[in-house]
Amino acid sequence: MRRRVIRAVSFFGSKQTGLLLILSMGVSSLLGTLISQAPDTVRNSPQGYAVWLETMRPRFGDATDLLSQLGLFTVFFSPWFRAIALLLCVSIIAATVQRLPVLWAHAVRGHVAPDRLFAQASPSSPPSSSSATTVMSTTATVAETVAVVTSTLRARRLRVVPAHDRSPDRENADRPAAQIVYADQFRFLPLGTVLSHASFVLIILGVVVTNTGGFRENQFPVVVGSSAAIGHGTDLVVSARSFTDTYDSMGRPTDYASELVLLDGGHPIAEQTVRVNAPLRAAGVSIHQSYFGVAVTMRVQDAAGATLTEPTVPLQWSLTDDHSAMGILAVPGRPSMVYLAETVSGRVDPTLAPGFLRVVVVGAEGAQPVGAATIAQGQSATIDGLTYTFVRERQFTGLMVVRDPGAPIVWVGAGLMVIGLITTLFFRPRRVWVEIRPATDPAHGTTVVLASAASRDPSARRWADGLAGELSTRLAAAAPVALAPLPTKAGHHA
Amino acid sequence: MLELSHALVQAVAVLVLGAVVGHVKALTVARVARHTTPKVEEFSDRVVPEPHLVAAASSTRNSATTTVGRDTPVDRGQAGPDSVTDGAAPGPVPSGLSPTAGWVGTVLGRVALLVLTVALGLRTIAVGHAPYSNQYEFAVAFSWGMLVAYAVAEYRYRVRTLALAVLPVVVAMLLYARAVGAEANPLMPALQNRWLLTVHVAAAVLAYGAAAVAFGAAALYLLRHRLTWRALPSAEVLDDLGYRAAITAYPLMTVMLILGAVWADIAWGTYWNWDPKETAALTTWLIYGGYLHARVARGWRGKRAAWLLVVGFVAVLFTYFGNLFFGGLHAYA
Repeated sequence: MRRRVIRAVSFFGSKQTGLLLILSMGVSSLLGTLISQAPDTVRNSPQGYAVWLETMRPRFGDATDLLSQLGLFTVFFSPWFRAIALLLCVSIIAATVQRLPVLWAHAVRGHVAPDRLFAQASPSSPPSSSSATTVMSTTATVAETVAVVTSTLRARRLRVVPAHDRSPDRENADRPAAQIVYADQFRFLPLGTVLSHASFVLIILGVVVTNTGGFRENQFPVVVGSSAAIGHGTDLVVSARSFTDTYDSMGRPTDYASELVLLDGGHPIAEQTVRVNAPLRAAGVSIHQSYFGVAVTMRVQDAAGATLTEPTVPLQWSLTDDHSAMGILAVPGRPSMVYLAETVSGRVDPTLAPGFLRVVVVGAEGAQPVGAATIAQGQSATIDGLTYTFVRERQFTGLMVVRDPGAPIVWVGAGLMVIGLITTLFFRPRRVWVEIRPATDPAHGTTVVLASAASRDPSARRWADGLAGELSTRLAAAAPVALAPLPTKAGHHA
Repeated sequence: MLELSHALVQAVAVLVLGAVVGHVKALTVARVARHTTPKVEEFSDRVVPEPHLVAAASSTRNSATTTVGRDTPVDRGQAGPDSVTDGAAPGPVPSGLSPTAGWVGTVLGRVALLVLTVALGLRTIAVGHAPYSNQYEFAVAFSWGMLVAYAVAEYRYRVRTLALAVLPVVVAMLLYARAVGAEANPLMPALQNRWLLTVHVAAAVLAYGAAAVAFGAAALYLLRHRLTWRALPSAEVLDDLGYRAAITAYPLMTVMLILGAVWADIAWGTYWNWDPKETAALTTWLIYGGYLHARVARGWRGKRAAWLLVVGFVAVLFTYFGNLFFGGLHAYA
């Protein structure tokens, strides 16, 4: 079992697996951009989706059904996209589990010089692609050289671990005793990569919380001068005092503003003029300005003249011709639905003059209209035994009401991602080991081997070159008699 | 003021075109002169060695001869293969570039950046907000981002040849801006979040500018073996430049995406809508993320890495132009 876990961690933690999953997610996102995606309003409604799918058929032809079955019209909500996101999270967690101990060890125990670095200074060693080694000699003593090396490194704002004896090993047993000076800079910043990767998991977690907790009402109309309960287990009520929409001289919208009061249990807890970029946030919910329109107050009376209901109905849906706005009135105790439609301001509908309201009563089955009439404000029409009176026109403000417990998690993840990326990509950790030993040939004085973890980064190599140059200059200044180069081929390996 | 700004933008297109011509001419002259230009090695006996290399005996492979920098990655103060100097190289001009024409191209590029900065400033003052309200404004800002990124890359890496891959994109973007029209409209309600959108768009502009430089370096890398220009930077320099530009672009893209999510949360009550523009930007981000991981994970350098940078920039352009075809919440720009 343990072996299986280790193998799974190794597989998912490998950078190749991570890369494959990143690119898979990239391709999936591209497909979701190139192929029209079913809107939220139809995605969870089989009937609505079927109607929407028909609108795609002229574009995709015979492939429409296949694309639908593959989930390519709902890419971001498809099981396979979610599986990729989940596997990417698993991959990141596994990679973090694997890499964190290594990164931590480098940060706290980096001063232990890897033998392979200094082994490169040996003429018999092959060049390495992951480090740079420079060999110098000076007439200064070992102690003097240590002092010069230390001051040079400190001048470059590196953290210097004082010189210590190099641990002899079997391979280097024949070498003279050496002193090692270690220095580094930004040693903890590579841990930023853990932050930036873990933040992705945190963001996905936030998305999951968003989708499973809280609630979201995309269409929450409130008639001006009235109130509407938010529901979802809360006692919150939104009251709209006013709504204004303003336009410039060319008729282009410049502002939509609703003056709202939020009540909890009947007590006002917040009030604000809500605009598109200024939501009201209180009691764990945020209320956003979204749309607006006309509402109609309708009185419904039975044959005896008794008023059954007198609601104000927002005409908040557009008909397919885009010329009319429609609302639905439900009469208490009656199975039929009443559809109310009015021509949108500024549009022309030859069948419905501005200022008139079309009333269509549909039976319980919803198949055929029972009756219809067109009435002006103040007029009545009797359909199927009930009298419908168009009392007056009012305005409603369309709001979105959201409770999103996942958003704070996403913001924390986003912040960590930025911090992680900046520390990982904008700061370059530096690590150098300087071995100082009496030269095997006394004519060469003291030998200095400077090794750095240059990896394959040209800028790291440039930095190492600059340090080597500065060090040799300082050594020359400390012991002005220059010596011949050491007979080694090791050097700066790219 | 708007008219003046627009006139300056058009002047910038001419200036950038002039810069491209200057760089092309520099290369053309270089090709004509290549048979009469001594090779770099012929100057080696005249190169002044660095003092420390004389003072302290060093056995590094990058010793005195590397000061010419033929195949060495360059930084400020070191000369690249197409570098004609500005006094950086201690020896004679080491490549076949025409100094005058190349210098003219560089100067024209910098003047264009200056003029475009003024033009954007004037428009910002005139319309009362940063350039983010329509396709024209973002196209001009995008061009500015590319010019800034190019200027920084040229300054740090001394790679004038990069102009031949980056500046034509700038010219094309400015022509597109001219085609869509410079009309200024009042900010629609959704865009009335000046500070947030200014930073969001600034991050986008700089990220995409850096992506253009990465693309330029990658394009030259891929074409390198087909081109006979002696002035081309070394493969290592181009690879490193593409990587540096990508690691500059990536965090900026991240900031852009996050600020876009913050704005969406304020304006629409959700931090992510799967809007085509958002999704395209996410795809772009994933491609660059893939590039960075590929470099680390598989040691992708050279051609494969360069192709990823080309694909990444295509994704950038798709992100910018895509909403013209797909609509969505970003239909304005």
